[in-house]
Amino acid sequence: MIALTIAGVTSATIAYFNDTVTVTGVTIAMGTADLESNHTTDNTDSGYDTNSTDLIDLNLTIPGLYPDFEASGNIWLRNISGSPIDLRPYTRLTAATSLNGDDWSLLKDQIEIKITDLNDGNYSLGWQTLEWWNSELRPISNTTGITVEASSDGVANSHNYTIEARVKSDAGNDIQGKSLTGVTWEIIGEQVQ
Amino acid sequence: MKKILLSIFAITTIISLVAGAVYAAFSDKATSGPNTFATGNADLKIAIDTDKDGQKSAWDDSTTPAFPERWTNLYPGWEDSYWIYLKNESSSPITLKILPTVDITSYDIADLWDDVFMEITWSDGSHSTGKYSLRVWRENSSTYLEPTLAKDAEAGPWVVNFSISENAGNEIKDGSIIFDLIFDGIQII
Repeated sequence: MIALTIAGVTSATIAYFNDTVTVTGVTIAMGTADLESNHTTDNTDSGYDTNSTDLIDLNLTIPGLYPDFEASGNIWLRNISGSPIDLRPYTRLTAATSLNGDDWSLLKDQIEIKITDLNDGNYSLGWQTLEWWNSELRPISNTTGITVEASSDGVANSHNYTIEARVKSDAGNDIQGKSLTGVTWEIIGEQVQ
Repeated sequence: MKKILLSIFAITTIISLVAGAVYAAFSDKATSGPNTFATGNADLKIAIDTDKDGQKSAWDDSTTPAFPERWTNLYPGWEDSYWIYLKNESSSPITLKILPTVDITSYDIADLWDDVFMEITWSDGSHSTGKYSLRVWRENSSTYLEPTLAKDAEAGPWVVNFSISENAGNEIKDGSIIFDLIFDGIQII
């Protein structure tokens, strides 16, 4: 028994020849996803806001809401990601002055929004209520998204969107005197796999 | 009386045996020597083929991938690979088994330890080591490459494939990780 125990210990400490070779300095450096937006009064593909935390002011004022009223505005989005990735933009209505108040409760199902990607075959999810846009992130471009700097001149590809708002034609007197201000939309570009 | 005689006999026998051990007779000796024991070594060499076109580097103890721009601005879902070749140039007639490991030399985002993966296969995709994170390769590497290398044998290419998890997100953006890929050739008894 003693002899076996000693043999075991000896085996564990045996050293053989060995040598190593190395692939040195393997570097893996990540890039970024970067979606920029702009809203200009002349509706041009310029004047992008490089600060992603800034809010886009659509200047889309809808005074005196009434059934059948419609208004529209435009924004541009472009993909200037450091990584060679395409981005599919999603949006969600995230805030309004009375998002949790009485006016919101009355207007969320009476005001509808339609967002159309003019550079992607007029991709649109159609007219949807504020409540629908608030409930979760919704895609506003097709699955191919916005490509990144694909053009030979190095200019990032951009997409032009119209945002239309209307009041349902069957809205009744309940919406009289109600208002929503500071309606905020969060736009997220998700990498296309 | 009989007992006494037996005792005397036993004692006599022992003395006789001891005496036999010191008995001197004619003798001679021959010597083989001087004997020299010179040890050899284990010597593993590596070559790399960055572009996977059959143009590999010279055999060396270390090598560096030659793609300064290729592995920057990476993203979740990315993957790329290079080929490596190994050769047993040991002076001793020994066979080596090869254990790949990773030594992380710098990083700025710890998530990259778990979001960057490495797998080594034959060029036809077979004989995979399995796909593991750099953390696993660094801390628990235990999979030897196939085949083993006899003296003077070389083999390859092995495809060293790196990838970034599709489950990774902005937590790794703008990050980087630098590491050495080490192949330890260990003598097989």
